[in-house]
Amino acid sequence: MIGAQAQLGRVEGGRLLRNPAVWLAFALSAQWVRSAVTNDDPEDRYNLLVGYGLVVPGFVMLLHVVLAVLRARASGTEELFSTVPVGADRRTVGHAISSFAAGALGTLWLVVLLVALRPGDVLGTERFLRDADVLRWNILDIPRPNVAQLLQGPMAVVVTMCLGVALVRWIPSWLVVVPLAFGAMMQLTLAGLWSGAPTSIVDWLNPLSRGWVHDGWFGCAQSDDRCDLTVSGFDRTTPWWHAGYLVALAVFLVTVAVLRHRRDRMTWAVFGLSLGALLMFAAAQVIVYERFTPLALGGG
Amino acid sequence: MEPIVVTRGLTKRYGRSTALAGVDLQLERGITALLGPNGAGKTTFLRILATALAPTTGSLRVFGSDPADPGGRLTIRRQLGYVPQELGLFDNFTAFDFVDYVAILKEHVDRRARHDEVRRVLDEVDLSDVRSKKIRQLSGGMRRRVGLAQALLGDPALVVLDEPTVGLDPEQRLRFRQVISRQADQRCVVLSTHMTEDVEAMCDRVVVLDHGAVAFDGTPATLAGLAHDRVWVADRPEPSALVSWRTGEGRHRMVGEPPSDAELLAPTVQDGYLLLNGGVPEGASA
Repeated sequence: MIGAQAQLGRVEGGRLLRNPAVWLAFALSAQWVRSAVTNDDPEDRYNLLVGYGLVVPGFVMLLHVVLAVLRARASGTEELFSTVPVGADRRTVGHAISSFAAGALGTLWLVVLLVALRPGDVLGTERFLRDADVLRWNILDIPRPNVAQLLQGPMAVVVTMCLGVALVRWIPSWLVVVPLAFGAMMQLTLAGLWSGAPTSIVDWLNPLSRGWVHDGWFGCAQSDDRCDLTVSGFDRTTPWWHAGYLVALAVFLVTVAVLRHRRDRMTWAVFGLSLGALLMFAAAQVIVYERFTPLALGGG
Repeated sequence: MEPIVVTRGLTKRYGRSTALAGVDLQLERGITALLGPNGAGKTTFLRILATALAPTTGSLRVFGSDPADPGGRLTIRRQLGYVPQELGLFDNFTAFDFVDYVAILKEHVDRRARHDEVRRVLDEVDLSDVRSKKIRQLSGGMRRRVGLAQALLGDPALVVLDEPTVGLDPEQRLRFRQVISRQADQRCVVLSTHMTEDVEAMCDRVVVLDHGAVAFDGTPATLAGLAHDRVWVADRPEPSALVSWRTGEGRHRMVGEPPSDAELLAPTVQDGYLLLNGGVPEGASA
């Protein structure tokens, strides 16, 4: 019977939607949208559409779910809750279901973005320096992200919430947010938005991936002040596998959380299936992701 | 009448200390009070009854189900209302939202029916007027009644209350008594208390625990009857009294072996309990 878990998810999801900190985080992200609209910067528009605008709200929603899972412990209701029919395992599922509210909010954000940015097939054209010595440029049309890329942001928020539930079930302390904050910063900076590493499968193992296809360094050392990677294209295939990867990851994380309190055959079976699916999608990403797309040289 | 709770040789040990030492009890409908000094095993017994704790040895059957079996435990929990001694509440929730949350955890899944039930129990404990207030804004007595309200969800056949009236002022205690006594006809209510007046006022049965064992099991009148002809009043304290205290009228009320010409008084549950306890006042025992 899933009714109690669904109701719990609805109530917890409702509380998440009423949390002013969540809306404040979206207000901060809205500033980014405003800047993207004003500056007409295709790279900014692309980053927003693939879900980077959800990193800060997603982290705030992660904090919310961590505190919600810890609420019984913090307020001394654990003894009472240990005597009700819906045990900790089913409550865990309820908290995980509440992440659908976060996913729905992320989807709403996406709709707002689509309305605000009105992206055509091409978001704009960017020039990426390919050879500083002779000033050769890659001139690229930045395409509108495909559906899998658009859904990446809301799905990544759901995964993040499930990660929070799993971590806090095994380590029942709000301190779990510290490594998660570090992870969020990494996602927003080094490993994600302002990628300082050559394209690798690691990008696709993160919840959010930009899908930029990079070439190598173009004539400077990594320690130089200005040392970008040259961009040579956009990966349009891997996002579909990445969507499956995110779904499998969410189910896997929920199962890990449930295993804290329930270790019956059914739970182990779901754990095994989700782990298998996760590995399968990760392997698929490794096989299909585009490492480098040679381009015809553009003019400089 | 089929007993709702049956315990046989119920024992609970924490390391080397024994909290319960072979308790045999059968509990039926009505209100049963557990009396006993601090550390007598009352809370341990109630926690075992509420399936929050497993006994070390002995057997427990509630509604014929064994809480050691997962299916049996679920059956018990579906018919149980419990208020622990240290009941925490979600301070940021309204009274309604908190009781609604617990109702979900008690598998009240139909939203409309659940909300009706939440309103009913809040009404039962006279909290309808403050149901939209945050719990942190409620008085101690109101918070206790929120705890009771969640215990009454779904008309449970067994209600377990651990010191429900502690910290309440006299008016709140009376109101609490009123609410609890309304439950007596339909269900088995087991409560622990230090308030002998509460026992006298509303309980059908009283069980005195001492050092984890049943020292007395009977009606409040029978417990009071233990002090029959052993309570008296005099102008001066008598050395033969086990316990004595000065009354508001300036006389001395005593429990023990009265002199032959003593002015005897009708005994109370407290007198019987004091005699049973060897004259050691409540709380003085370890």
